[in-house]
Amino acid sequence: MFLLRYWPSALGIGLLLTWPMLARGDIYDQESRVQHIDRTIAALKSAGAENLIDLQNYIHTVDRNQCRSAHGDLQASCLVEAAQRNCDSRKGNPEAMEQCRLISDIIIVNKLGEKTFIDAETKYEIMRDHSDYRAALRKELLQRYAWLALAFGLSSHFIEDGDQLAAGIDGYCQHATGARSISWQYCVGAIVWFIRNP
Amino acid sequence: MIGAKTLSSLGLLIIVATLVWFRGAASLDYLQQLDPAVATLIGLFAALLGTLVVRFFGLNKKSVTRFRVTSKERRFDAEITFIDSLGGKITVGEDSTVAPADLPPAVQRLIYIAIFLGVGLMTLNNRTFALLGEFKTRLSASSSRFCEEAIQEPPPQGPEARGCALVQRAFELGYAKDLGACAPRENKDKNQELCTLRLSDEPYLHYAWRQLYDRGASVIQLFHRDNMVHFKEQLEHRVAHLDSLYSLQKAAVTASPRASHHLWTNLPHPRQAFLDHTRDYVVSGLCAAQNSTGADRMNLAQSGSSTSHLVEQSLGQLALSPSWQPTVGRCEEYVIHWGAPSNACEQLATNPIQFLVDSDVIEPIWRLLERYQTESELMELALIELPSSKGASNSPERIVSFQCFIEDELSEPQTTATSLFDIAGFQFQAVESRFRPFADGPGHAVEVYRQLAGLLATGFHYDSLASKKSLTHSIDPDSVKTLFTGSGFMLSRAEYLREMDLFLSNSWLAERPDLLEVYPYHLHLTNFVEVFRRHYRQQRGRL
Repeated sequence: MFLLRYWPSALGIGLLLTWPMLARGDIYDQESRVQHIDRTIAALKSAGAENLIDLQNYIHTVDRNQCRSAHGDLQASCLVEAAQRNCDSRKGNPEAMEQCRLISDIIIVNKLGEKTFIDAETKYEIMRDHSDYRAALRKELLQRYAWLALAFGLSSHFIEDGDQLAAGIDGYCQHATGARSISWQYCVGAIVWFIRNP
Repeated sequence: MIGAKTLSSLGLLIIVATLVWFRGAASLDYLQQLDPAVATLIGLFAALLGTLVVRFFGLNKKSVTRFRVTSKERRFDAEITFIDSLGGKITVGEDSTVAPADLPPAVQRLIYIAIFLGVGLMTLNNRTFALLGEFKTRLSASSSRFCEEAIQEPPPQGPEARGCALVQRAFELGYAKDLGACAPRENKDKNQELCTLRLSDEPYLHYAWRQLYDRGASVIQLFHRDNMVHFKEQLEHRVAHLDSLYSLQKAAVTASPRASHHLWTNLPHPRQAFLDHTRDYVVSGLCAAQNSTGADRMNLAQSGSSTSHLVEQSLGQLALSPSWQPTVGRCEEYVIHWGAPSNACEQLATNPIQFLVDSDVIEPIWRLLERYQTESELMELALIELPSSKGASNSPERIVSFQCFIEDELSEPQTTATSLFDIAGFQFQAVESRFRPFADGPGHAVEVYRQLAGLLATGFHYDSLASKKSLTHSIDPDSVKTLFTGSGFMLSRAEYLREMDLFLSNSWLAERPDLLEVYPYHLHLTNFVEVFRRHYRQQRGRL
């Protein structure tokens, strides 16, 4: 009875208390990060190979054309905008739209992080030595991801329990920022992608 | 009557001990600078060789030959006189009837272990150990160096080469300043030196003989009369300054500090607990920063870090952390004087000697200035040379410095003052920086870094030109915060952080601990430290 009578007031006070948090947007706190990684792994696992290739091709095409830029942040915002437009076309199916956003996010971040994993000199050598250089670059990139995933697997952050995997990846990548000089998002992108495509 | 084995082992022990003593190989300074691996190797060398020699030569058994002190008249048949003097004689010989006095086998073994320990200390040091490690590489490198094949004649170049006609024409008409790649090439063989390395088709024995012959010729040349006269002059010159040379050599071998930089602050010691305080005597906070391998993150994300902690951490990272190379000094060369009076620099400038005595730092400063003077004198006499890596010569104010970092509630936001004073005829300056107590929160770490960097390297300034962020475009300051609100594309949006340098005007970022947890410190902190060190090396150096 008490709750029924006063629930609007309780809701109001609750909203008032949580508003500063929402307004500040603590979206990068540990809990949110782990949740995001967890959902991304699930989305990648449930996505069909065809869907994955489609999204990859779309992002790569946009990146090579309208989003080409020397500045990572401009490139990122352009790619995010394009991916959002693409995923919004699935509004009829909220689950598919969410899956599209999560997978696009990981594809974009891996695109942005390519330069960190393969330096210009190595890239040039690969392009010089292989006729199908895109396939060779993908293979090389996956090998680099494998090394990072192996380092994660050997670290104390790795716990085989499936529920703890996302937390482990987040913890390891935070550590990698300092110890391996690799940005958190690139590290997460590489490990999560490798889990889907070993 | 004493056994020959005992006497020889005792004699050897005395000789080796004397040599070790004179070479200073047993001094505490020398032992302290030994690498643990070298110390272990010396121990192994002594234990193995000592035991082997004792076993192999049967030194743990009774002596057959013995020495005897006797009067002139008495001498047995099976002995000969070893030393004959006025008071009596020492004879050496065999006597199966009486067993000579010998040390117990265990003591003999210990003596030989001690002898080889001394030999090890004299012959093995950090450098020889490193050379032993490189032996295999050097061996393969020396045998694999061959003279390069004669350079092939370059293909004909010039105006007749394809595509060069236009360049030649443009050059003739004055539209091009030079011919670039179309210019005729000079014959590189002109500048080639005579190659004395092994030829590709030269048999190894012939190469070895050639090497031996050349070395022999150079040795003969070395003993030529003119060279010997020159050598004698040089030696006499060096002997005349032996003390100075020895003191420099000793300072180098014992790795004594090559600089002395002091920072006085009225902030309390960062570790007040007794145990933490005691630990500082073993490994100071700065040395901990120097020895860490992954400490390239700041404490911004950790709430409750005191300003003292941040001062220690930032000095450690700015000057000593090996995460960024090269470092600008060693931790023993930097001292933070906690809990100093707020007018420390004023006291220092008024009465420098007394203040430094009270601060218990006068002795290392004297030693350093003495070493500087000795080094300068010897350099003037051409007895030592400045290492080419040092570039310019040092001056006292480069190797000894004094700074004060004072928290003052009444001061302007940040003020800096400089006072000049003399020590031993050298002029120094005490640079003081006063700051208001920082507000609580993670943001003040950036301020500590910036202010301390400005204090240590006068004139240091970090702006967008020095930053790694893009110069050609910038994100609108008003809209920047909205980039990290909302949901979706969390990983991609973290990319924006790479363009936001904490050390520039991004103070809002310090209020977002969630973003700082994923902040790319490896980009911006690295850049800040590297820019600082470049600036710092122009003002400060090491002997």
